Amino acid sequence: MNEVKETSETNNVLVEVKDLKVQFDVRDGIIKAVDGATFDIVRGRTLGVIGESGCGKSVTARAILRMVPRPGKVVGGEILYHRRIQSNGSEMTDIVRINDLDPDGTEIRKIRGGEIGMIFQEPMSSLTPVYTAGSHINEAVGLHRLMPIRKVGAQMTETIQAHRQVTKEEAREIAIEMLYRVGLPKPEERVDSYPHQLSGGQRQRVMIAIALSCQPKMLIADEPTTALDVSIEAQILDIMRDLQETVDMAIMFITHNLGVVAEMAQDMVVMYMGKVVEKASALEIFYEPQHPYTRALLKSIPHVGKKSQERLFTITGMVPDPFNLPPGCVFHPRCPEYMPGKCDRIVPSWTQVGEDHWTRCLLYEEV
Amino acid sequence: MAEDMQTDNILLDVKGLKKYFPIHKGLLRRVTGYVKAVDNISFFVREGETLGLVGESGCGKTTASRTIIRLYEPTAGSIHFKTGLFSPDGKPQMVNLRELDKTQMKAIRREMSMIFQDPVGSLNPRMSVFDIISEPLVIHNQSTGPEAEETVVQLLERVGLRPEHMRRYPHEFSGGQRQRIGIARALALHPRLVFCDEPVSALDVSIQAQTLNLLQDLQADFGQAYVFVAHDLSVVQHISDRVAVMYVGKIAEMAGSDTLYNNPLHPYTEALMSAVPKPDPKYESERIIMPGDVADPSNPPPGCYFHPRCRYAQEICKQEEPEFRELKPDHFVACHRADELQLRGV
Repeated sequence: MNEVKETSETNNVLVEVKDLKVQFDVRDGIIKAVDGATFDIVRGRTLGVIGESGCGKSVTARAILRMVPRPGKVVGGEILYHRRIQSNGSEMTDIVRINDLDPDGTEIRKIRGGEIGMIFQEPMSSLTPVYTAGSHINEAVGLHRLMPIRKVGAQMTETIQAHRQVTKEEAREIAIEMLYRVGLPKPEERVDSYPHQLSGGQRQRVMIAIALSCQPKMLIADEPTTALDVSIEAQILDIMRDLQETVDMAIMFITHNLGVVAEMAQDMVVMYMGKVVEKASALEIFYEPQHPYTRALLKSIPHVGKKSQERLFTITGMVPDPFNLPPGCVFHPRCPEYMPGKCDRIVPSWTQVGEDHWTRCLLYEEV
Repeated sequence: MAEDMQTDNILLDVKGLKKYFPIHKGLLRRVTGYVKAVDNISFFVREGETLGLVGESGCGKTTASRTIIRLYEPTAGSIHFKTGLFSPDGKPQMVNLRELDKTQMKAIRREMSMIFQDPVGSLNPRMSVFDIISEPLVIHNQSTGPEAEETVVQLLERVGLRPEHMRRYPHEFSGGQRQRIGIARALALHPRLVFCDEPVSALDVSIQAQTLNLLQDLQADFGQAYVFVAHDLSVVQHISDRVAVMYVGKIAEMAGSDTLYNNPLHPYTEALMSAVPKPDPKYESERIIMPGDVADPSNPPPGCYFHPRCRYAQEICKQEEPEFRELKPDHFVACHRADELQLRGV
């Protein structure tokens, strides 16, 4: 099932998502939550995923962790995890097809939380209320450090420690150290506090500490700062970036906040109704957006510091009913560039419009 | 004369407003302390303008607006509201809301309404859209039957919904549409002041823009004033004429929105502005990180509440509480060092 090959110098891809399709078969019909998502997550870089609620960004993230909630099912495409391993002194890449793994099997449990960490939006519900902050971290560290699967990173030094078992005391120390690194005041005391004793910002920092305590190769952050105030948000974004630099971690950053994504991401993916409509570097998305949806999204936000008496640009209409998607391009009923006779008939294909800049729009196709 | 003109223009004048919530402890539920949710704030709202109220969660933005409308009973202070309801000749005059009895307060609520953050929780799922929007009309004996129906149809059309939506129930609508229903209900009696408590923070970007435009259009049509409570600073700047920044139950600074964003006088405003993420990947942020956490409103630090996190704090800041004063015309600030500091705007 797994394919092992020698690591090539040029290939820095960590997770490859190819034409991913996820469907939810519910009473009223089938919802195509993700319908053909293609993108790569590169080692040490941040991929920003933006889109409105219901566009499939969270489902995509959960598919990578093999955590799509029932009745959702991956019905097409593949997710390839490029795991680097040391064998006979040379570095090899082991390609794991995540979508073939048993969702409760040992393999995915090593990856989930260990090699790929995660932070979700609501800090309170993702922490168990009856454990103290310290034991949450202990648990994650204990779970993933005891498994002899770790540490095949760029840094050779880490490899030595990788197979070392960590005792309870050591795990606690790591917990305190991580809490200190995420900027929680008085970590020695806070390690023994319960989630309800912490503020929302502190809880989210504990979640980040948990996710990072296993030194994952990749972090999936699903709206990690949405519920927080700007000042706390700023702190958390800084912490994530600092830690990313020190451990060379990739981040998949899911958000609907364009300001946050501009600060965090180097690569970007824009999703609309389960489809990736545009993929490019963050610079190109913000300065040369090609898809009408991306352009409209960028124009519809107020810019701080630039007060204008003008009204905001709006995208007309509403997100369509997922059971009754419009034919052709799903965005055509709301699109300012709608071409009658074309957009409502032909489904646009994934087209290259620049170096590593892809979009799904008939404006860039010969039809 | 000029001063008269200005006071004539004022719709709501809040002075020294306090709202303390008691903390009960022990078997006898003795009061052991107070959470000073709103602690001596003074501000005013002019007719037809939008005052933005910003600050971190727990700073008292929502409590302040609920205390003014007397959903919470104020602990101290005065709330003067201009209304013609109680003057014999119908001429508008300033009335202290704290001195009104229950019936008078009910009458005055016709002139003040509220739009809530959560478009799901603030609409009764068992009531049809018609019932929800016509309820204020019925309570205030404005209209019933076919007449009410006509008003509801007009309101629905005005907020961008269709008349046939009247017979449906809240769960049949999307978040943005529900917020429109909430707006229609708030405007049913043509209030002169509307408290908008985080009205767009639960909405998606494209729907947020639609809702903000709608609120502005409705203001242009009906001339009501808004108190716009939100934590998204770019949204607040977009919609507000003036902005007040709150920190731990107090107003730190209040000024015209451009002035406040570009030439802040309070270090807290400066730090808050620097933290706003800019939608521009080329922008190099120079964030001012505020050390520590927001002060505890039940046990605030002495002196200026912001001093433990302030990078300009001096001895005086630890001892004396700064006065909220008008340092420049229409620019109020509570900081000892406001006139000497050169602070950075957005």
